[in-house]
Amino acid sequence: MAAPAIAGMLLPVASHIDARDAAGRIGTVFAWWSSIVLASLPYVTLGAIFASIRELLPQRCARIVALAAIVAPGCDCASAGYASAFVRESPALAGFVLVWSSAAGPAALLATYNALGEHLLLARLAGAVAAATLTAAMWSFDRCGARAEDRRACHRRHEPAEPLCGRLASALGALAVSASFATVALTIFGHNAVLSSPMIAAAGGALMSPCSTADAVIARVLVHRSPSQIAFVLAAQTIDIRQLATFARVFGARRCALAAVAGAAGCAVGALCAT
Amino acid sequence: MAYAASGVCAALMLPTSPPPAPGTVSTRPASTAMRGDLFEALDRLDSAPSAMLGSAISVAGTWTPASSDELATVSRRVVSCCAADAVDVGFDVRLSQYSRVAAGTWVRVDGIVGERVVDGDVRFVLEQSRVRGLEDDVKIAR
Repeated sequence: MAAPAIAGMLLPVASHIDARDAAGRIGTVFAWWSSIVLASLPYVTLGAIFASIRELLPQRCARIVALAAIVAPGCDCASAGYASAFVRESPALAGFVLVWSSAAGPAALLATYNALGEHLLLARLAGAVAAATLTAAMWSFDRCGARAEDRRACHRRHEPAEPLCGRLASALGALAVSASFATVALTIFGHNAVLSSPMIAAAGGALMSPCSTADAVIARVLVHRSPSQIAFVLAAQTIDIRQLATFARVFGARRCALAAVAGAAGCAVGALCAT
Repeated sequence: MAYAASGVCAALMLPTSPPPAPGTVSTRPASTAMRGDLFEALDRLDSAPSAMLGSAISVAGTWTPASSDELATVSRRVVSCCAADAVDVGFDVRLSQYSRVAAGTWVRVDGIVGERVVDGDVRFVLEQSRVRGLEDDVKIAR
């Protein structure tokens, strides 16, 4: 009896829905989500492998390997896989490396030079230095976070190292969730939004969360003023959902919030340099 | 088995043709590294618009027919990372005479560069244009 009643209530709604159009739209949105996850998959996997290798190295060699993340080519998505390798490092090193590798990786800098030119490349570097340095300083002086980290480190010292599969599953799960948020933003706003002021451009970049090799191209197409373009690309890598979700998962909500503040400051520095 | 079945179902849901880029065609250049007459025309317009306006150009790209509230466009897609990050860049097109061309056809459009303002944004349009298909089996009805 419930089924005919429900069908009867849905009939007026059904007359306003084009089923084929709705199915096509759902397929398009699913294709966007899948493209984000599939394009990130190799980099996240490599990042997780890197983190597992780091666990096997002595501490001095491990730091050299960690610093290699700064010059690692490819997508910033790899940080979702290797962020956990920095839990045992000093907060300053962890904060600086993770923010810098996302905002100013080699591939991102090359894409920025090709799309936006030399002047905005320098502005991006300035904003990345500011964001990474501030994150390092804030995490270094964060006493509450340090006590929580000491408790986590003590707990981990008595645990076997996380297996690769577990590390990868955790990173991919977080990536899938952040890809969902980015897809929702794309579905609602698309690439049609006219991002005028640096603040609005930064909000757009943070929500859309494009790849570090694509943010400069999208900024050139969507955003018309240089300060807004740099605010878009820096926000897309330092305060985007993907980056903040990684920080919250690995380092806790407090350090995630501090990184967001530092990222916003980096966006402001980059926008000022681009003027 | 459940994970494999879920993966197969998810794969079957993916469309067989490339999904559209999120957003409409933009008439701004994407990158100086892209090669092609359409990209080069957009780069020249960006650096010296007054020099290009009123001149005749010929560009190749993918055709999108006009709709009730949008002009037809000729565009090329720039994909830097994944389909979700794709952008379509090109020109709006006003044809000198009606031509029925299927969406997605690879065409060459000859026209005169003009500009128009849409929602406060300047867009470049090819006026008095002529379109011709670049593929052997393309039929254009006039």
